[in-house]
Amino acid sequence: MTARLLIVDDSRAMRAYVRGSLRGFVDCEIDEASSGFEALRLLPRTDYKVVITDINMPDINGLELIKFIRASERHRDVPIIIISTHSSKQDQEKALELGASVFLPKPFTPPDIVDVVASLIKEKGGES
Amino acid sequence: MSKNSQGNKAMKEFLAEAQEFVESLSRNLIEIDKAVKTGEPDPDMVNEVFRGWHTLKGLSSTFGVEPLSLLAHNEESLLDDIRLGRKVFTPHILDSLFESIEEVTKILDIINESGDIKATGYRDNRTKTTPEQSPDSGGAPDYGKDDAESFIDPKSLIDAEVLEVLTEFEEHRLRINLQQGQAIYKMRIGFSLMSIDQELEDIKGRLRPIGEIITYLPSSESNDPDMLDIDILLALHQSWEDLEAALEGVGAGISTLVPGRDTPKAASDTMIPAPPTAEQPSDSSMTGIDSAVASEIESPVISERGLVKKQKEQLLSLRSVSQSVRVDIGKLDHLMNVVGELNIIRNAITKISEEMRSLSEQRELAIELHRVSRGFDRRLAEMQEGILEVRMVPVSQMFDRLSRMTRKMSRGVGKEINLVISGADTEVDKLIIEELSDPVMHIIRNAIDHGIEDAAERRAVGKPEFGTVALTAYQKGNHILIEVEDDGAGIDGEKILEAAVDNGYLSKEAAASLSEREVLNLIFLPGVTTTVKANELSGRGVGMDVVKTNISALSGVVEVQSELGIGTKFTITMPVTLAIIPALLVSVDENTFAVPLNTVAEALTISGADVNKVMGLETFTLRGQTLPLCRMDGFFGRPRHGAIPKSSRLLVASLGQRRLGLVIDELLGQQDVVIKPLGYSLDETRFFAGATDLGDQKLSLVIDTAAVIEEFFASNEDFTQPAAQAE
Amino acid sequence: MSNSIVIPDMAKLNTGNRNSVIAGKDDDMKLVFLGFVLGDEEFGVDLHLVKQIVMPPPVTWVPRVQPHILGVISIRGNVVTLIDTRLLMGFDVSDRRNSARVLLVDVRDERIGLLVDAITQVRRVPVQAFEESPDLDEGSMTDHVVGIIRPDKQTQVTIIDLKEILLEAMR
Repeated sequence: MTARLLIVDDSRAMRAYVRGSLRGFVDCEIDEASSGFEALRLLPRTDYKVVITDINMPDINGLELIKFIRASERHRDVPIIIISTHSSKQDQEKALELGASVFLPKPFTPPDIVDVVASLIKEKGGES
Repeated sequence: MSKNSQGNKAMKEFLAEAQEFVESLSRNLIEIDKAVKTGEPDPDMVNEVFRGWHTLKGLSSTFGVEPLSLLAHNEESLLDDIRLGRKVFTPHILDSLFESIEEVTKILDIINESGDIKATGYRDNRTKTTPEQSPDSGGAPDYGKDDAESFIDPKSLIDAEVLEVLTEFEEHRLRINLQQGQAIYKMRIGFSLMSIDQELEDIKGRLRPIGEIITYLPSSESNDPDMLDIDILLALHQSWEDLEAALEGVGAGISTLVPGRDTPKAASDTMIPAPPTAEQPSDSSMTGIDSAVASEIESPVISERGLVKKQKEQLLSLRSVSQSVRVDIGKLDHLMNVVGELNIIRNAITKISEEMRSLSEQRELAIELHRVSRGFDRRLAEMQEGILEVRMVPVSQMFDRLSRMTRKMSRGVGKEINLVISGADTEVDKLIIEELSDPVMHIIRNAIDHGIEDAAERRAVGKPEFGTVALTAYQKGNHILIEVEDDGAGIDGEKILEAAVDNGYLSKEAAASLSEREVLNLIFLPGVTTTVKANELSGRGVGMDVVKTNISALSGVVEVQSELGIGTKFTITMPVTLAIIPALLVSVDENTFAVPLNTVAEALTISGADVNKVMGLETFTLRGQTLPLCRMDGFFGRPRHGAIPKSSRLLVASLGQRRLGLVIDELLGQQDVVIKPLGYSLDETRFFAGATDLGDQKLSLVIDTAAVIEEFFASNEDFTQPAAQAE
Repeated sequence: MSNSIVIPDMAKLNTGNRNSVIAGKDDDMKLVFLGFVLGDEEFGVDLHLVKQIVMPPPVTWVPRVQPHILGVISIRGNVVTLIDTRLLMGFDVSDRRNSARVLLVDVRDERIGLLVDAITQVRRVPVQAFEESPDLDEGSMTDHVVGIIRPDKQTQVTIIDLKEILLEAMR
């Protein structure tokens, strides 16, 4: 079954890059959110198989988003991929503590993200 | 294939985003530069600059633009240090940041021009002084020191629940505020998910003046899927009363995390209620009274209406959240062309309906057609207007770049310049902005270089040491005016005259008879400059004559006013758009030409008998003034000899102070025309602004009146003197 | 491919190699030229250089330009400069023929129209049938003759480097 994914990043180019990387390799439909708020708006409406998010975003940061997702009924178990540069070790550790599944440092290649997303979807698919 | 086009799309987005980044970065830096002079820059803005570099670094490394990712990496670390209080902005650091923007622009230019994403042609030619090596290298800031003495561990004061989701930066800001003894509050506010962006902007606007927002914590406790409670962490810099006033009518549950001096004792869990009239739906955090009010409102009628509203909101949510799209200007040009073609079709329909009306048996149909085509006209005009509107961009795009350059130049010549910008939101056709940047830059460069005196000189004459350059834009009718005014030494008319006489433009005798205004306008002649020696900045062989030529090429006019010792003001007048202009259609030697209406003062009928000769040149006396005449057929290389035929037409054209009578054969009418550019292969002729399709499948050339006037006076030097008096 | 003229729209030229500048190659290593007539001579240009062929539209005279520029024409809403190829190549101007056509070519990012007396056909010849530029008398135009082909016994086609000629004229 086609998996639904959510990409949260305030950069259009980054969203387009992730989308382009996955297209044709992972059977998925992708929703995009350009801010934490947009993500909050989309999350209660759809069952996402994977959420991909940046940390450094205006207003609502990626960490807050992870906490929100983990506390929600619908997505408490959804795999979360953090895409960010290696700027802050502290933020990276916090993200993993809060329940992010994978930290994928920028820059990553298309096969990198395909591998991670595909393996996460497979894991979840096996469970349900 | 699809893979490829996706990659292309991402790449395009990358280049567009990088460009946007440069624009917003330079705006923020200019603000920071100002703020640093008077105190501490806004941490939010500093963080935004950091995030910008951070994003750029992530993107450029992802897309393999190595020079850019290297540059971004360095600046990101620098900004990280600054936002986390390890370094402060110094003039050197700011310089290097401004320079980096220029470097990013260079790299993007190389990529755009060469299509070489690796930007292999790029070299960073800057002499590297890393901030560490530079004389005033930031060092430890004087605010927010993390030393042992003042160290306050937020963990001892703030809930771990809150701390765990703060990024390093947010934690840092929290610590700084704690050290400064600010009170910290957590405010729970309910938002409707659909309108959260606007609602949040409203809250930000209320809170920013009184404190610093540390972060927003979305709560997942809400039961209503359309509602979201957000805890806002605020460091209050003003009094508790100010907070109450700011949140009036919002409906916020406030808990005190760290009390301030005037936090009321009872405020540990306070409620600033929303008034019953506010459109604030009931929410779990509200106190009893508010819930009661809310449930009272939930009468059946209203809830039904509420349902409809909710459905509407759901529909809305399916739309893209982003409210704007980026459009290639080429696509807009294409649409404009289509509108042009539609105009032609419209003209044909009008003609047909007029012909039909003369046939008695078709009268009724003709009237019907006329009515329908009138409706079509109106819609078409609306569409035309709409497309023109889309082409408009605020001049701030250009002004931002100019303020960056101004800062750089003023530092280069060691003069303190205060650039005052107003009217940055004035909208102009995108094309004009692009073409106008260079001329305006040149005028500013002149002002900084030659206009503004150095500090000692300014002190001596009692002026403030800071020189001021005012850059102003505003709209006046169908024109945009851009003014560059400085409070410098002014232009010395004597020197201008000297240079003009030396260059052979006019005799000493003629020079003596010029008015002040005429003298100043001489600086637009090639070779006449405002100073004797050219220096590094203004030199490069570009004079005001080039500025004038460039502006004329855009159907604009530049004029100068100056008072010795007080200052100089340049005023550029441009049409709002270049795409569609009202024009007069004229015939010259059986060819149809269009003349932009805004360049024609009046149209007259004359005949050979009205013509006088002054020094071999045909002239006409118009209300006591001598008007030189230019016979367009002769000007275009097809002279017909003999006197001007009876009932020829004369268009009085003006460019700044100069006036010229254009003699044409016939005046055919007036029409709005879409100007299309001529190819490079016709660069040798300067007399046409483009061509337009009038609907007979044949193009008509649009005469560039300004170029004709210039050429005419250049080849008839005796008339260099503007507006000669009649004998 | 039969006799119909197929004009590839976006063929990219490899400008690094002189041979590829003057002629396109098709699959069986044949050179492909578009033949056209000026006066009573047939010329050939690289087929890929020509983007479109149209009937001559009404021409608007442009004052004060070089004599070989006939004026401007409107092609799909765009303004295109029209060049009299006969004058450009140093021929006399004679009467306009009914068979006249306009070749649209791209030079320096600009689309330019070239008025020729007639189009003959697409000429495809094997690479070995291409005769390198003969040593003609010194002359401005002969410099731009890159070779000659003879599709049949009666026909001789002079292959010219049209792009270079245009660039020189526009300089």
